[in-house]
Amino acid sequence: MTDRRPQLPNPEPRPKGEVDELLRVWATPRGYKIVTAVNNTVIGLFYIGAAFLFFLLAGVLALVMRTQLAVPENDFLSQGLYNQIFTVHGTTMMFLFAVPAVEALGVMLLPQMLAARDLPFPRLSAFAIWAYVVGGLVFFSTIFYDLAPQGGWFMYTPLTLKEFSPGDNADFWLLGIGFIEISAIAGAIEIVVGTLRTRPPGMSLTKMPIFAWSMLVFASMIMFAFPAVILGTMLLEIERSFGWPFFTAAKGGDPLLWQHLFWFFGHPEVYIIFLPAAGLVSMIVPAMAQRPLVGYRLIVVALIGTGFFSFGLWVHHMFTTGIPSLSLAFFSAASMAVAVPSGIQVFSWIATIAASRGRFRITTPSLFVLGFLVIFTIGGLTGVMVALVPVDFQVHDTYFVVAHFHYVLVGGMVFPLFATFYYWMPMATRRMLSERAGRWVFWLMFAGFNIAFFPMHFTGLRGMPRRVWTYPEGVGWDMLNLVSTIGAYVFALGVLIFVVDLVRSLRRPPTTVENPWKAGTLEWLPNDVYSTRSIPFVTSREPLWDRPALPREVSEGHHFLPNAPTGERETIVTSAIEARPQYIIRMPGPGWAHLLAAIFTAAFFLLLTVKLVIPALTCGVIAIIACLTWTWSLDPGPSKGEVDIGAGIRLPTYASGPSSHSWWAMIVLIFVTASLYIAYVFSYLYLWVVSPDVWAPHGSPALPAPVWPVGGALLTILGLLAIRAAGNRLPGPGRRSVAQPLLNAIAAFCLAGAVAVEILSHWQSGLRPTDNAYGAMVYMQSALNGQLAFALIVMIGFAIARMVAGKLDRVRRVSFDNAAVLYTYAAAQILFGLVLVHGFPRVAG
Amino acid sequence: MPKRNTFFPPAPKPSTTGTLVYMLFGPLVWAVQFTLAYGGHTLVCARGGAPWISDVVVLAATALTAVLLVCFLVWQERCAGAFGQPAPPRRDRPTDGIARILAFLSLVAVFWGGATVGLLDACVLGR
Ligand code: HEM
Ligand SMILES: [Cu+2]
Repeated sequence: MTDRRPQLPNPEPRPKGEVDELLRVWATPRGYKIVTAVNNTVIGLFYIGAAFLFFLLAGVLALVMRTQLAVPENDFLSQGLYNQIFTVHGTTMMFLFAVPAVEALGVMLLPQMLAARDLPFPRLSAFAIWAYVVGGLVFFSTIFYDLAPQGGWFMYTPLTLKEFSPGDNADFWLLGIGFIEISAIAGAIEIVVGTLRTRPPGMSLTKMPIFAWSMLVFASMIMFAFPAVILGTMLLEIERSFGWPFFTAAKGGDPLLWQHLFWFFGHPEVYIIFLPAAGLVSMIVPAMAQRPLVGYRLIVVALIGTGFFSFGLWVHHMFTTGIPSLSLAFFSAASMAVAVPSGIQVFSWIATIAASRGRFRITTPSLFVLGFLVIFTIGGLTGVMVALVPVDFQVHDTYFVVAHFHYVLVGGMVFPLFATFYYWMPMATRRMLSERAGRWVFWLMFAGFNIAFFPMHFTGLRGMPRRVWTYPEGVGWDMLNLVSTIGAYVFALGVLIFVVDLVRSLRRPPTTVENPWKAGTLEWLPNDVYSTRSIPFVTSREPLWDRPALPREVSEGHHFLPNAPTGERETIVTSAIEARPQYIIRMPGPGWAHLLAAIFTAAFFLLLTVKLVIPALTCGVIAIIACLTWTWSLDPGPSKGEVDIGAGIRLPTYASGPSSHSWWAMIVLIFVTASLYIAYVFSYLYLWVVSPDVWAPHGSPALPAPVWPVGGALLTILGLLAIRAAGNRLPGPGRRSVAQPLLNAIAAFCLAGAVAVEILSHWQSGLRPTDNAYGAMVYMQSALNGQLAFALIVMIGFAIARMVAGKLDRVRRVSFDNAAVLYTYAAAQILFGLVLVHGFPRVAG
Repeated sequence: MPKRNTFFPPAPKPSTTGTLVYMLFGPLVWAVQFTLAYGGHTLVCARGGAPWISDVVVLAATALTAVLLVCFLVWQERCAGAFGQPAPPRRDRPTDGIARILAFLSLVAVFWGGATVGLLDACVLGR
């Protein structure tokens, strides 16, 4: 024992009172104030709770549908209501349950697995969660008022255009999705920066637990996939509200554009759901087998490979829309190839189980893992089948497809999720779920699922289309449907027993089981609201197995940062590749501002949907003010000096510039913005390919004279120079500058000017956005640039206010840096856009 | 008192962006092939070009990216240096492994995608 001591960062016994201080700093607000909490482990519980609630609600809808379909020519539901129900079921399951649930597990489990006191942006997470809860509940409740959309979860145009879907129903879909987009992106920022920068010292990228890898891939995929659907929903809402004809063929638009944008998101989406679930399985299997995962590298490769390749498949949802046969072959091949990485993972898990030589324990979590393997593999096989174009021609839009995607989704996501509940429950709540009831839950769910969905393969092959509210008697579908309905109820019974057991367990007093499964990763260290007492120095992938004394060392405070030296919430930020300690991040505590921001953002969109413009704008303004109040308290500056974290390492408590977490978050945001813009460029070129006849100069007014774009470009460049100069003129600490805010203001004006000039130039040429698809696309470009400019003007105004308040100087400069980085990107986007809109038609015309 | 050096011996640090690009080299190249092949042939077909031009576009994209990937696999040591990886004793072996397997997998994917050329007349509407 004594010879190990020198290897500890803080070998001496720790002074008394440090734990009390940690408890004070990280205390969760009590009573109704719990809603102001920001600690990811606390609100992560709300998050997963809300997601599970949506699973139950959408599940009830599924039972209602199955009841309707139990017998032929049933009139339990009307046709219109059935349409609403399958749309809300699908949308809720995909957007309000599956994605949020895995994101919730991410924010809940990652801090524990990385032994970080918290992830870097706790308030952002809290904001995302509240926006999601409010928006989700409103969306779901439309089913009670006959206001729910009827266009299916992918809302194809032209069915969803105003002519064919009058009323606000479709707008509610767009609204609900809007929230999920916002909260998914916010979550992605948190997770990318969290996994890359708040790992414990020593945990290099290739020592990271597989779940963290899967969340990193998950979040990166969100960064590139969601923007496509964000653009799609924007275009659709604009067409519905203002008549810009992006999707109307008669005016040069194309309904298929929606399908491209939707599926460019939608296909990766299924992997966005599946990869984290696979990550969870990769944590549970080694614990149950009591040996390291076989093929760590291969699994990382599989995760990254799937992450990339899944972006090359989206056209397989469009095989029947009439596309060149080379595309058919290309996407068919790609769709089969993507099964390879998933296969690698399945083999790794089986190999791990086999290599344990019978030590693999059959517990409820492992049963769910095995169930997942069976069901998901069947779903994968039917997936390869529908990737074959001729098979797809045959079964497209039949119950075969319904069976296929439920096998992948329920197998690939719901079963791992239940395994997770059983497995991590003791970590999150200090209570175990009943293993005995667990057997019932598993077998009912497993049997029920197969009874419900296996027959659907045959119903589909016998020609029953999906999305029909009823069917005639005697065409060979009756028995199969009845069996499916019975299976659905059996499945539901399993879920019901789970819920009862969950409630019972939560009402029991907590016990102190540490590490009941004897797992090897850090989330099983003794922990409390502040995560672990001290942050371990990590040298391997299963630290708890390789260093049995670790739990004791950590809870006695012998590792890094055993206390709360700044007297506030904080954690160690480490370098992205090797996890060398870099600085201490100071994090915000509970507050109201982000909560108000979330609620009023929700209210803004809601009121806008029902066309109450003035109240909506009021709420929007309140939301912005709340955001500003919230951000005002950030960027604390270097006032707390340096602190000692152990091993003689002294870390600054402040960072700005390219190594700081806020800079990284900004870069992530820029990636998101750039993918949104690329989706726009794709749409522009796509519509040109489809209907070059409406493009300028032949089908539309001639382009504005070159002085217009040149003027816009000059303004942009001037602004860029101004913001650069402003960066060089930041005063020393404690001083103020007049020129600096002035230059900032100039930059803001230039940006606004550049956008205005662009709009004016087209307006004076006689082009209108409602004329045709070309006009709509031209003005859409300015809409995107205008959004960016608006955000920047707010941010620059914020920086100016910080300067006036004496909170911005050469050292404490994050609020300016963020604006400047984004400004640089915005300028690039605007300049590129000028080339595209003014140059392309001249070349191509 | 333990020293910083026992935990974090001073050593050259790998470049952050370099390491990420190095690891993801294979899939990034695959993404290039995908964009060129899909974008190229759709454009040719949509603008009424001859089908064989479509095939040539796909073949060219495939050949170009396949060569890149093969070079990466053959000269991985040198590539690692170019992407800011420290020299061997300090090199992270799992990173090398992940980069290599990913590049190999991408090479397969590139060939697999390219192999669709010539199976069908490129621009005939599939349905
Ligand atoms: C296990 C319980 C479930 C049952 C009994 C069930 C049942 C159904 C039924 C009856 C339909 C409508 C089929 C039609 O009329 O075309 C449907 C559609 C759908 N379900 Fe489920 N489902 C379940 C779970 C899930 C889960 C967990 C997800 C996703 C994570 C999901 C996603 C979907 C989607 C995306 C649709 C398509 C909606 C559309 O056509 O727009 N379901 N489900
Ligand atoms: Cu797909």
